[in-house]
Amino acid sequence: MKSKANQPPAKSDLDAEALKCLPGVEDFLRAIGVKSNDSSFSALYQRVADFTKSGKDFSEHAPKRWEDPLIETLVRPNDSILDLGCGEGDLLARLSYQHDVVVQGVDRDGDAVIRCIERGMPVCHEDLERFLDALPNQCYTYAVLEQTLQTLHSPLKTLRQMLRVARWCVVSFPNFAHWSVRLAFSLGGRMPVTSSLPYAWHDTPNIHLCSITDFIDWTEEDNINIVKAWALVEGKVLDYVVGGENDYNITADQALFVIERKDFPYQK
Amino acid sequence: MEKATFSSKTFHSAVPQGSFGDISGGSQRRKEYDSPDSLHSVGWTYPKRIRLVTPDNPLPLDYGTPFAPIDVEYEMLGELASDRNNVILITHALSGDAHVAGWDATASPTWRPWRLDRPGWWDTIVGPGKPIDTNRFCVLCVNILGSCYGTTGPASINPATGRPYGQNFPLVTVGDTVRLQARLLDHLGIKQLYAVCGGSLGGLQAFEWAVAYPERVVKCIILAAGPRLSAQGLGFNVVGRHAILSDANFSNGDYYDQATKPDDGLAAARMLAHITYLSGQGMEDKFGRRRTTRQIGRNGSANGTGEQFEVESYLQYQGQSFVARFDANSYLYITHMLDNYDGTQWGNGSLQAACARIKAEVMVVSFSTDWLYPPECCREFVVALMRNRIPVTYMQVESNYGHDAFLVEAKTVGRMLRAFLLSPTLARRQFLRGGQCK
Repeated sequence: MKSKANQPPAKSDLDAEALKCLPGVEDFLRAIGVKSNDSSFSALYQRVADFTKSGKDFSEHAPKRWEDPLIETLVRPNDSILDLGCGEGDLLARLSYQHDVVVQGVDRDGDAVIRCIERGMPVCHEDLERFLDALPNQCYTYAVLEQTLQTLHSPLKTLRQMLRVARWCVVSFPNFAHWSVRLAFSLGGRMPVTSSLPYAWHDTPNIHLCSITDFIDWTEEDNINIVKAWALVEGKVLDYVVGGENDYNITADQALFVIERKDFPYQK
Repeated sequence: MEKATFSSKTFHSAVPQGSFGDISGGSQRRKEYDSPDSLHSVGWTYPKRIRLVTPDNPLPLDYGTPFAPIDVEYEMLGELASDRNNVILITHALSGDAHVAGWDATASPTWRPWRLDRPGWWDTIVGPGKPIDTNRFCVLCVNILGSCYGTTGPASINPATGRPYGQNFPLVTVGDTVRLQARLLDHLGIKQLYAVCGGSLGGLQAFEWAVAYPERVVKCIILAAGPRLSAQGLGFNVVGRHAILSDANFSNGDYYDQATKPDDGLAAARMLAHITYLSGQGMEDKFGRRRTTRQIGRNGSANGTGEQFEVESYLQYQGQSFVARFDANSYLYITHMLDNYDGTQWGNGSLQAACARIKAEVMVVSFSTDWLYPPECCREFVVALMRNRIPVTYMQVESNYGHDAFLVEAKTVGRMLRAFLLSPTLARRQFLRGGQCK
């Protein structure tokens, strides 16, 4: 009995048909050579392991800066937007050229800052985690943190500071519970490399990854209201109703949340 | 010229570049400059001097009674556009002058000989095709009040006595200097500056411009300057002034007729100041503990080996060459100007309230090893502006050159200046958006 328990399961413990309900999985299974009738766990295990070892990226369908048009729909004239980790200022340029808003970027990458200056975007060459402390309460309408949360040393402290400095906080991050991540780690046994997480384990800036569920848990713990949310599923932007029918925690590559504090302890 | 024991040829080729002296200069190494006939040089320049303030309309001063007469020396490079909206005012630092770029056509072995062998102090940045492009912009640089390079200062003749003012010159401030520059713009028919740009004391003037005349500045560039000098910075200037004031030849500032001027004091002040313009690491890299054969300076020191540290020779050289081109009284007045400046005065003690006046787009650049205006100090401007939701651009440049970096790091600074100057203005962006053009 003991030796049997140690052997890998021979029969199909994993239902490949059930897996196929997830968007993108079918393409993935086809790409790694799993046939529709091939549902044995060990075969899938081996194929996923080989695939993740090859270093090929399967999910190449996350469009760059998919959050920007969504953020554009949020702003109203005379709003002020603080973009933390603004990079080369794509969002800043988009907003300031098309809307009557005040924009301000912050980034710690010197080359990106110079590129911002060349585009005429106001930007501060600063480490955002340190810099937020210097700003007063509620001086911006939106504080934006695109794809940066997972790189911060103290993400919760920064989110709280953002909610102090701005009325609303817009935050997007890669979902670490996406099925490709789950497969790559659980079956492939390797750190996942996907289009949303395009780094090897040794050169990744991502130090505090989370899943959508983790994030929602935090908002509940911290008395934070989710005003609006979107999920990026298979390259398509979908409205995310928290607590709704769809569990985007497994299908979404990335998510974008607009959050606010339920109480408003900060006077302007 | 008695102090300068070295040959006049060495002297000419070795006077420091820039208002703070050039860290890579000195007698050992010579920089390659753009010659007057180079496509990248503004060529020969002719300083202009006018009697701007006459006794019937004296200049109000922050301290004391309105002052007149005042002569102003300035240089104007590049073409003034027909609507006169392409002017960049460059504000110079403590020991700078109006000769910002190009080669002074009026210099001679008897008149400002240090300009013979080198172009203006910011020739790396200002010129045709350079970051501050004289093909596009009209560059104006005005010698500050209290200086000894053409604008009225303590060495100028007091018409009431027929003798130099000396210590009877009124205490002048950055505000006074900016007010005088504004008068010059009125005189030249320039309503608005496309940009005002300066480093160190020049950065204070640039900030003062943006706050005092918000409607007249479109872009404001502040390099290596903060709202006020720290206690450490004040301390350095105190020691520098002490060296001058305690020089036996200072004669309470009335030394102009003497054969020997307070040169030792001025040289000591400059040597000390020069250390503050560098950084510890920068000096280590440049000099280390290397020794060199004694070239200049006094003999008879305890070191009888005929050698001196390279840093010693460098500083002595900087002191000596400064004495030959600067006036001790001017040094006192201008360091006071630097010390007394407080950017919060327009906001009754609040920098945020002062910055609320600003309508210009502001860029602040700090340098990582700057002692006088360290990055945290420059950052105060940035935070104060952001507190008012005024867009601001801030860059911290990693450099070993200390405070001097704003002159030495020409490549990095130039890239930022070019980008910031050529980027669309707020009004232009609004116009592109289809909104009302302010």
